[in-house]
Amino acid sequence: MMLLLSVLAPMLGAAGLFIWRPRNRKACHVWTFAWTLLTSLCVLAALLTKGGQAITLLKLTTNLTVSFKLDGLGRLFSGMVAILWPLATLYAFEYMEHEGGDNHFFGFYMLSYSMTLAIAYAEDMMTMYVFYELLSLSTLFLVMHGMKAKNVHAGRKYMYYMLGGAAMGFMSMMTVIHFSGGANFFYGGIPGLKLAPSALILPMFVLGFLGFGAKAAVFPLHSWLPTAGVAPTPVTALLHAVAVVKAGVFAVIRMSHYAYGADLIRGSWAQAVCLILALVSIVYGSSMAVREPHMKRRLAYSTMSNLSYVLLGAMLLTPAGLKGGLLHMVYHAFMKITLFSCVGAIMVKTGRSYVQEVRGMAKKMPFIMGVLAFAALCLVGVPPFIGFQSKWALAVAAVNSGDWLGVASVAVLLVSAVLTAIYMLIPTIGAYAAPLDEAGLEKNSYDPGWQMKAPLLILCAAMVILTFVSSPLNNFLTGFVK
Amino acid sequence: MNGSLSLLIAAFFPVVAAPVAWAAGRRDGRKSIAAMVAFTAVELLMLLALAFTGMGRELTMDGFVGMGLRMKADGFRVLYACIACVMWLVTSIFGRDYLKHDHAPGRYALFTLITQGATVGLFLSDSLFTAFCFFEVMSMASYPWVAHEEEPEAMRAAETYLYIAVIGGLVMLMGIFLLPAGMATASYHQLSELAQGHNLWLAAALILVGFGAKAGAFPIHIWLPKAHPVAPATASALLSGMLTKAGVLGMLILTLHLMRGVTSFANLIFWLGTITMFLGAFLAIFSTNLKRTLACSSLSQIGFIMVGVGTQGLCVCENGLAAFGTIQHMMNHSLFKLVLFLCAGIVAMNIHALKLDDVRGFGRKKPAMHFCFLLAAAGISGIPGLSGYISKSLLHEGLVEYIHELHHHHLNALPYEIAEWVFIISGGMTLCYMTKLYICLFWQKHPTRQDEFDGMKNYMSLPSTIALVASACVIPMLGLLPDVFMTGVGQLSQPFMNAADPHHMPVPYFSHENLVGAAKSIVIGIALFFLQRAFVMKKGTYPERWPKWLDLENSVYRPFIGLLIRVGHGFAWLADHLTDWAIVAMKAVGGFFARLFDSTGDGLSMTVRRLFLPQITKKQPIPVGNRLTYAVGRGLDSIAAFWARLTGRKVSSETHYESLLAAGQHEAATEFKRFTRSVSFGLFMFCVGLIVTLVFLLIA
Repeated sequence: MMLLLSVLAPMLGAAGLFIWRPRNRKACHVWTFAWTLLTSLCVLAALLTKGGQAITLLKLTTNLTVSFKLDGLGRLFSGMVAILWPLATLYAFEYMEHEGGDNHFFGFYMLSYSMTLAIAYAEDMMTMYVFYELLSLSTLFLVMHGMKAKNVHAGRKYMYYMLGGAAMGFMSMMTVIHFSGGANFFYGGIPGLKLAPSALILPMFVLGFLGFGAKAAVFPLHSWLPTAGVAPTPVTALLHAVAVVKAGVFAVIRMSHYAYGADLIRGSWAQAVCLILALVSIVYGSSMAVREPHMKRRLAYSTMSNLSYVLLGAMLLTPAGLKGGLLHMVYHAFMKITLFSCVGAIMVKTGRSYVQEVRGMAKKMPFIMGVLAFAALCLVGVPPFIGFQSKWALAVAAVNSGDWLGVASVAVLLVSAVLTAIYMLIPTIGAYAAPLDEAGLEKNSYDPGWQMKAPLLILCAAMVILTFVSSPLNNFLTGFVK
Repeated sequence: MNGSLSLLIAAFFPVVAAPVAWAAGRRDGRKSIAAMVAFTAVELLMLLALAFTGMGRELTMDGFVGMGLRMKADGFRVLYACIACVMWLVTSIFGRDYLKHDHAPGRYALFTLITQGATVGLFLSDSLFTAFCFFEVMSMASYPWVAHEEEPEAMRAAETYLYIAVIGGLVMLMGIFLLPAGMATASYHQLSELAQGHNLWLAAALILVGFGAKAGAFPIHIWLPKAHPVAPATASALLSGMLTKAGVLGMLILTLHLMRGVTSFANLIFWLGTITMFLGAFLAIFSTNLKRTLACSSLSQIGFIMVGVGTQGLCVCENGLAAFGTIQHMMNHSLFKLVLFLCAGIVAMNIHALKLDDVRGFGRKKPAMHFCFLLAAAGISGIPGLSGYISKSLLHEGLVEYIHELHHHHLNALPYEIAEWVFIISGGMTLCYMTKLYICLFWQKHPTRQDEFDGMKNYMSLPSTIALVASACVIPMLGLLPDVFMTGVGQLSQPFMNAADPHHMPVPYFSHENLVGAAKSIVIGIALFFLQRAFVMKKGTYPERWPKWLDLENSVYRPFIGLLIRVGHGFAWLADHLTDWAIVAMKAVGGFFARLFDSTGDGLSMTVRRLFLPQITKKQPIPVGNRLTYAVGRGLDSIAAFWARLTGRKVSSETHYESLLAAGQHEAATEFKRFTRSVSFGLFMFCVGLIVTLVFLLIA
């Protein structure tokens, strides 16, 4: 019941916003935040009460249904989304001050929340596919927000890629449904698929990886992301930062480990292709981040690279790899939301958004820069912080997979770590050691108020705690990744 | 969790205390330094307590930081942790003077304490994973030392430092990943057993890159002569004296545990050590900057230690002497560099200059400084009676013993004999550059500022003087009573190094051969010094003769990194456009096929027509028209020409009425011909005929 409620709540909120259209920006924000919070509470309630009983929404045919159920993976993902989304919403409020069109934006924003949760709850391939498509549609309006020529161009490109991806995903889905008779997800692979001819299964798996990976910006379907990043809209950062891109990763994990099954694919050429694509995406994202002078877009590229870390873990097709990937998914969410918030604070408070402009900023924003430095160290993977732990888990899993691609993966992870160090540490160090360009900065301190400081402090505390006490999360992962 | 928490506390207390020290100095920076001294003293007390009561304690914490933590307190580790702490304490006390007018003492205290905790943790670690974690924290936390002055030179050196730290750390990590499962978290003493039957050469070499970079081993020593001099003197002492030893610790782990019995790996360490030893001394002779000379000297001394480590690995059974020499030289070098860098610190904080030309004669009439510097310089040069002689003799003796062993087995010992000579010559070079510094500081006179220098009586405060003189007094103490101290140090470290007892107990430190070896070095050193005076110096000044071509950083590493980045960009650019190109290509191909299928029907019918209804196409003659068109055309043309002349426009060729009319006439004629041949024309004519017939009938 809670599942249905948490999917419906943001929809209702969005519908309310579309009908009501409050003139007052504040009212819109309060309304949005209230519904978002309510939804998150519903999700948390569902998680805590183990409210995982299945709900069937629609019966398309006798065995083709649209239905929800909460399992371990869904629990992890929906929990993460439920924590991140309200934070991202808070962050969006500040951003949207410059953009306008709040009602429109937050309406679709809540719709996306609903769709993401539905993907997390999906019990079978059909449900996931339906909501995956709906998520593409509802985020389209976020990408196009602003409706200038650039935005529309970005939106069109986004749509091409999403629809193309969905088409591939559809083929993959139909294969699964055909051979499994519309069965539900099952960890280790739906048994019915084992009888399917591998000459069909393997290409379909690759297609599914590409299709669902398009949202996670996996090479070669990543090109929508830079384009969306070029459009000067704050939305892209939001989109890249949080759960929308992670929905793509989640869908790939669902498909590979819960529909096809790791045993079916392991060791085949399909696995090699997917691994290589993930590796290419990692290097690509990191290289682009090094080249990008705009802080926010730099982080967006970094997200792309980090999402592929997760995909890499998933595509190793071993429990250890999946565990490492999921660990990184959670940790990266914490690190990235912190980094985005810091950069956002700098942009909002001082109007500076390029790496060169942030030099020496530690004098004016000691708090924000301290948090930024800490999160950057985590992301680079300096031991013993969380980024290091998840990368370690990934690399160990990669080496233990035993073939040359595993070793290559480790090498790529390390190269990417060097690049991460370059693109994260150089601005951080610059902020402390380089002289400040004082133009336009008269006040002594530009640190934001407590509303922004408090979430950041909480996030930092969470990261420190996770650094030293990571066993509960590990145990939880071991609970469903066997 | 298993074992004693005291080890964990020893490693984490400074890290936890660091923010407190930083916060203490928010208003008044001196309080940070004072807090740092206090915390370091507490840490030292804790370690001493551990040394006297808790020897042999172990700690394992599964799941800590993901993989679990493993620490152990045996003789070598506690000893070195204590030495580290003493160094931190002395430099902190000295720092009260040195950093009195500093711009960021709080930051210095913060990172110094974090580095301290990490270093203690590193020396107490008992698994490669634990060591790696502490090593990385140490590398990262020591970065602010190098960047402390925030001048362009310092920033550049710090950038190099960071690159080396990050890349070295990651290469090391790669090596750790390549180890078979379970080895990264195994105790050091289990490593050699676990390594049985595996070829770990690649892994060990990769791990060596990380440790070697920190130690300053050739060819990744490049950052060291740049980074150490630009840091504050107190930090330079720690960087040179302590952080390099962290690298050496890693080499010990690799050579004596992981790659135990692998002669080729020991050879690698040995020869890299030989090169480093010579190269460092060579650079030091040419250096004209006080601190850079000391940094190069560090390189050279690390080379000596590496030779010791290599020798230990080479002679598996008779490695007692080499093991003793290694640990003794590690300790000695820490001590010498502490004293020497702090002396350089005195110079820097009083006259803010480090170039040898500018500091000439600074030390005159400063007995305390003179005493300390002389002892440390003579000690590092291996003068008998001081501690450096003891450790160098043992290192030399270990090498000689290996050569004997080779001769005994009738093996070719020539390379090692050459290495032995390089060892002796490098010892002489040490004496040479140390004498150079000593003479420059304490005997030469500054041409203009000598009176000013002589007048500086309060060049350091009382606590600093006590700390420095006390540190310097240890040198002769160790050197004169080696059987008490040096043998003890060696024996403490034996279990860690897996070393056998030396042949002769007690070790004959002052035997005939050792004294002869020292004498050889001294004679070579004096000869080199005069050569240096004659050829490198110029009338008592120190012209810049730094061999720039030896700078691998600017000639190799930086271009290489630039190339890497460029390749990365090229790749990213390619990846960026690949899909777009693919889409364009797909569109083109699709369009082609669409057009193809579009016109297939037409094309088919055309082909059929061409095949079955051949059409003879004659070349059409150019229409000439008839008389009428000719005449009218000519007339119109002349009118147009006239009009053009009137208005001054040019006659365009398109309005050539004669040919236009001719073409028109031709077309009209063709059309008419076609019309007259058509069925409808026939019908039409038929109708006309009918009508004419009708009319005729009606009229008639």
